[in-house]
Amino acid sequence: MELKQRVERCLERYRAGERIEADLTALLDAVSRPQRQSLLYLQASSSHPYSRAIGISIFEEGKDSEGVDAQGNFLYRSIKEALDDGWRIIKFPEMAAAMDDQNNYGLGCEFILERWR
Amino acid sequence: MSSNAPYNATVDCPPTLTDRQVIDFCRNGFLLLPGVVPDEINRRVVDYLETVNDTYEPTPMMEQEWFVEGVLKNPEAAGAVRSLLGRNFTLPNIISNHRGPLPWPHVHGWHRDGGSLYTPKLEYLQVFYWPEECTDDMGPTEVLPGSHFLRTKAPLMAHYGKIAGTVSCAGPAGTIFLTVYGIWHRRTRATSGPRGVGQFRNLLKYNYWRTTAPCRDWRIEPDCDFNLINFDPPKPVAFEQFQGGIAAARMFCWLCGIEDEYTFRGGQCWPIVPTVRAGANQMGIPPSLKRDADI
Repeated sequence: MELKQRVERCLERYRAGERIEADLTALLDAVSRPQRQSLLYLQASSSHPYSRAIGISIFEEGKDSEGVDAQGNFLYRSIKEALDDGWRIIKFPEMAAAMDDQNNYGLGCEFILERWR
Repeated sequence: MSSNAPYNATVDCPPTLTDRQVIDFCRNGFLLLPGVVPDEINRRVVDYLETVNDTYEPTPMMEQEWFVEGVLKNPEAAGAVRSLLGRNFTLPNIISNHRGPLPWPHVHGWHRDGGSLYTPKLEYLQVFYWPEECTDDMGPTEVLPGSHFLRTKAPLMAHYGKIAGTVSCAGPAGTIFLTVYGIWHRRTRATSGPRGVGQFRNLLKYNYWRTTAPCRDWRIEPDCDFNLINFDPPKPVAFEQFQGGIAAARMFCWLCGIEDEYTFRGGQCWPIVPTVRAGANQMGIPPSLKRDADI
């Protein structure tokens, strides 16, 4: 559960007159824990930051690295959808491969994104 | 100890693929032949893998004539191999078994097999065989069509996950699929419980090799106009526009034995303009593939 949701839940319980000491202690532990970096790899059909994704993988605690929903659809269909969900680009597509214009390297244009939680 | 197994023996048989099918193989990098091995042979193979040799390299199975005749020389599979590798191709000398437990919660990483080369030359084929049915929930191999032209190194593919446009090689018992050795592939997650006689997923893998120079001696289609054929690998894949088709055309020319006739001159020349008017030749089409060329 996101930290914000946990604080909201704690506040609701407080307003309802419930004891929230344990909740606050758990929240304190959560905010004291060093944040962890999550990584999202999106391979796109072009270097445009809003381009369509042709490949996806996510490395985040508790998530399947395939990056798909229960129906097998990409969690993010484009770079823009990932940006709108709070991901931040930390690496733009590699341009060195453009030096060899007669061959194709890797899987399209790869964006690497991060978020901390 | 001597063996009667026909390791590396040369074989010939009638080719089964047509011009268009050979081009499709160049575009895709693989060919799926569902259920071509008879059930009786499939059952004998499974029995052998369960009772005689359950290792990851049951190569001695090649001592069994029924295996060599029923699987390795299977008319449809060997006919496709003959079409792509020419006369007197060799039988394998190693049989591997990708024998996996069911279920298996992990997806294997995308990779191209060790020893891959990026080349238009097709000197050998990597071939896979399901002796029992493999459904999508049993962790079949999946391949990325056209990826035999996408350069990378296996250790640099480990972070790839779901890729659009992949193809599952699941199929009924007796399915054989042929691949360009360097195609990107992986084993998918097996969510099924134990299935089959041994309750394992058995997938045999072996290579055939070319011994003769390439030439266009598969099933010729006299009506095939090479000006009007799309050589591009299926989309969506990660190619710059036309680059996949140019690579596939180069491979096809090599297979035809006319590599020297083909130079991609750039711009709108063969094979990138399949919308050319019927009756016209695309600029740069190899002379042997022109309309009205002598076959």
